Amino acid sequence: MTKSNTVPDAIQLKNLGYSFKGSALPILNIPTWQVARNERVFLQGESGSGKSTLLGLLAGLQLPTLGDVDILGTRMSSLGASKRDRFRAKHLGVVFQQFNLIPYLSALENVLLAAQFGTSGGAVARQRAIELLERVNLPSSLHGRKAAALSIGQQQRVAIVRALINEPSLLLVDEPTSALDHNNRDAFLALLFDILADRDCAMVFVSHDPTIGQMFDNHVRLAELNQVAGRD
Amino acid sequence: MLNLSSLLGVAWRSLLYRFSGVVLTVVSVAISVFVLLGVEHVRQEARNGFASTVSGVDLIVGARTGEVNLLLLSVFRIGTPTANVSWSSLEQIEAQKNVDWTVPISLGDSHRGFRVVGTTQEFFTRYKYANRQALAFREGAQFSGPTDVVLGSRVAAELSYGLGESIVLSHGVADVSFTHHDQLPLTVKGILAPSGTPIDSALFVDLSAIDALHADESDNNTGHTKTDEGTDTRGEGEPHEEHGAHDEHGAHDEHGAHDEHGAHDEHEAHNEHVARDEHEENGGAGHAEEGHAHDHPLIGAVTAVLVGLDSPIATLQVKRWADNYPDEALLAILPGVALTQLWELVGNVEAVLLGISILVFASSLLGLNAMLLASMRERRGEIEVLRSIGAPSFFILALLLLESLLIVTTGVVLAVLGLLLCIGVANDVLVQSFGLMLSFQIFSSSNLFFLALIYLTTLIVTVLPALQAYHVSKSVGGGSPDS
Repeated sequence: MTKSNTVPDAIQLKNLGYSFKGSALPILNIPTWQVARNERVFLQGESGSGKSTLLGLLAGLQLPTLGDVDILGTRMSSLGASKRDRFRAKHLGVVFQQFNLIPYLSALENVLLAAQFGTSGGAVARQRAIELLERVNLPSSLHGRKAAALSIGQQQRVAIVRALINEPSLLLVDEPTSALDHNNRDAFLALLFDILADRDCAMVFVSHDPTIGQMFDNHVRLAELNQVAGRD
Repeated sequence: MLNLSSLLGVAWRSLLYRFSGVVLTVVSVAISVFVLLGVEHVRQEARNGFASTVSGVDLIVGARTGEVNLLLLSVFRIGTPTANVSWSSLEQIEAQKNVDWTVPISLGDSHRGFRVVGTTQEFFTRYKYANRQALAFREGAQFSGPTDVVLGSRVAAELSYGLGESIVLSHGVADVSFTHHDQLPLTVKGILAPSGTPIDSALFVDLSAIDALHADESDNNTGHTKTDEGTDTRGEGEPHEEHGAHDEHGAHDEHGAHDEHGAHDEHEAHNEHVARDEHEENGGAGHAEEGHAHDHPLIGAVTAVLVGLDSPIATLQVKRWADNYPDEALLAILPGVALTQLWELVGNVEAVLLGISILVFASSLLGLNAMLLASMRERRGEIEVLRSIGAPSFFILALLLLESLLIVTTGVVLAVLGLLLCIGVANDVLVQSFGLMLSFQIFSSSNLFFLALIYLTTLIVTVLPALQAYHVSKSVGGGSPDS
């Protein structure tokens, strides 16, 4: 926490190094990177560039081999596994490219399960979940439908709601549009920006598609960030 | 933090979602467990049933032969008696200190392939099987006279006999006998309840009836062959040899030995004993009180004697006495010991069943493992989703374990119910055709051990892949491999 008098950054990496167990070759080496509160960053990276690993580190699913990962002012390595689980549930929202949902739970149940792992629960969370689902254009007739029975576009919208149900301060999004066609992709992105507009939430949006990057103020190429030799 | 009902709810929906797969797994577990428990149960029951063929009898005394032979003959009624126990020996046995009761049994006749046992009324109260279980009558009562017969349950069922039926015994034990005791038809007086022992496939008559039958034959048939066979009361198949033996026996026993006895014996009873012997010797009615006139030389001799003692401590003492009995070559066996010896002879069956149990167990474990592992792999993505929304590892483990245990438990419960049902249905048939009655106590220690191993394996096969999946899902990637 370098700036003790202000609100800590959403993300602060320092001398981050990561290599797979048993491998001497690091796949990530990021001397420094910050994402401020409320900032929306587009992180462009090809598959194989270590972006999924970076997201895993940011989400606290794993710990760096070297250096520090501070999320919202909390050093990930200072938390045990179960505390990181709770931290993730409370403060982070995650959206994958697909298979975001538990297939046998309904749209609403998927959202409420996430709410339960966070802080909220009960009737209040339920009310908020219904409002959010309607906000992403999912009519109440779809709320009770099994996730597996929803279209991919609908699933991704449920995934946004689920990621936001606990009012996170950081949203991590990984190629959420790769399974969508062009029209759906644009509608999805528009909806994402719209719903984040009135929220106090930073976002790291990872994609290989530079055209999406045009919609962001801050466009970073992972290749520039990552100092690992021999990588593009 | 997270409540049980939400865990149960998620697990339940998950099982419903994969319904057909779950049903197949449950059925496969149920069949494996059914076969495993069933084979193991039959193995145990075959052994127990065998060991519980006779109980409550401390010693069985018969003419000297092999221990197993005597057991086969007296309890299983397999084989033919080679020699008999004379009435005088029987009385000597009864007079022994510590001897509480004796029940003579006399074999040699049959009815349509089922052996006929001549015995006393005491047989029905003294003979026990299983855990000192007394014989019970399904219908009627024990015989009260020489023209009554009591049927084992299998005899009654197979020949469709009811109370009051009139039947004719045949001489010898062959299925088709040419000598029928048709002068003296017997009336069915009682039918025993099934016991799962050789009792079920025998007919019981009063000892006097057997004597009366043969006496009658001897009296009424003048033909040489007939007489021979009639004389051969207990022996089968070799009338002449028997006949010779009887002569010798008669000469020796009645004259030599008993005089000697008279000299030594201080028992007052001996007088009566001698009197009886002399009576027989003189061609009297023997102990058959209804007094058919005959001159059967073997009246009163029996095949074996079941002996009950006052105290089990005296068993070996009485056995030693009988084994060294001077007047006749006798052998006394302890039924439990002889049964064990016999079981060792036929124990290969048990070894085969045990082998089958182990193979079935191994294959059911492997099958269970394969199914659970496959479903774990299938659920990798689900685990990653749960991880990404911050589900604690406990929740994920509990969810997967709960599902596996529900599947296995449902399978086990189905198997147990199915097995109990099958035992109920099969018992009639089993008793009828094999004399084997299965108990409903299927939870033997070995079966519980097998079940415990099944659950342990389930635990391992569920927890290990779940933990692995938990640790592998470190990246945010919706099931995609790390990039």
